Amino acid sequence: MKKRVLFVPLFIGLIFFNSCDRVKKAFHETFSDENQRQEELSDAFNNPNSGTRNGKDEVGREKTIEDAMKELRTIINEHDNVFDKQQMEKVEEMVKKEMEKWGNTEFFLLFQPDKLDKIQEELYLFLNTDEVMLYSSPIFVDYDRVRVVAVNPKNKSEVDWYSYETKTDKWRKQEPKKLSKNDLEHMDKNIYPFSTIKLSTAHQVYTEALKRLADIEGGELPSGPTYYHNRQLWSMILRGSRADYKFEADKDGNVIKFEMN
Amino acid sequence: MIFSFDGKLVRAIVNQYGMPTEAVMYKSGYSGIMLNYQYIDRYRFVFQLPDSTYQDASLLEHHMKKWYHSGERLTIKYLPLTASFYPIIIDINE
Repeated sequence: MKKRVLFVPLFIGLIFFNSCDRVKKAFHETFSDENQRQEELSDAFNNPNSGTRNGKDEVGREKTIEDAMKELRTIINEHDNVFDKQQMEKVEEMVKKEMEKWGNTEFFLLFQPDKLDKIQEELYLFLNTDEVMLYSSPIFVDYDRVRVVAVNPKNKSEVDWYSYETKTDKWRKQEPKKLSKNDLEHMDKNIYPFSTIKLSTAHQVYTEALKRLADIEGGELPSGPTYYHNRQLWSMILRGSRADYKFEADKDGNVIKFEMN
Repeated sequence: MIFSFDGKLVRAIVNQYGMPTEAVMYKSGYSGIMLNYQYIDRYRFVFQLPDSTYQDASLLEHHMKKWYHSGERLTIKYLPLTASFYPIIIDINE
């Protein structure tokens, strides 16, 4: 009995000391994290463009705009420079303006047709399937990301958004697309194989659009073309300071419309 | 600390009782939210509290009336009582 009586305070003592250690550890972790956070915030406040904080999720911070512009020229030259001198100057001016506006140097995807094809192939690997079926929602190809709506190869009644971002260099599954009973009943009509289009066509459409944008006063760099399966065309809006223009190309990238909005 | 808000009432309260200070937009990125097929970005701001500590707060792109570039300084108002746990800010020039 005496032994039991001795064990009770010993047990309580053990819990107490164990708790103290945890409290100490928690206190230390909390406040050391807070100190680090304060340092990062102080740096962000006092040197907002120093590029020393949050290196992982700051898009392209480690690259200066001058470096990025050199890279852009190299990329465009690698792919048979499609712009004349005046167009090239205008494209550089628009890209630089966007980089400065967003503090982001990732503006090259649409200038790299081979990379777009590789991204398309990678979705097959990501979904582990021989044929990716897309749902008839638009395909967005932006200068730093691609977004599609694809059918789950393992469950044909599930449809989800998938996106590829240049900053991570990989595909990721995003939110599900909500379907109705009618959508499910007409599923076969609503889906089509990804292999029937080429993502690199977005490059062709984009460069054709930029050529025309070079002649538009106050032209702004567009984010990228959107493909509409139901209309079998790529579409973009080109924004200028005096007017906006509608730009459309067929599935193969041949320009079919360029007119003022 | 992350927050998002909308609504005239909150804005009116912050306008009336908020403390003006300088803030810097230091980072923007995808918020994880999509609206009408468009990705909504989150803009993060940092500002200094009277005790010299720094606080961050954020606004969603579709709650803002103008774009901010990284490093842009602006005058905001924040609610002092909520600053350390749920900072609510407005850009007073909006």
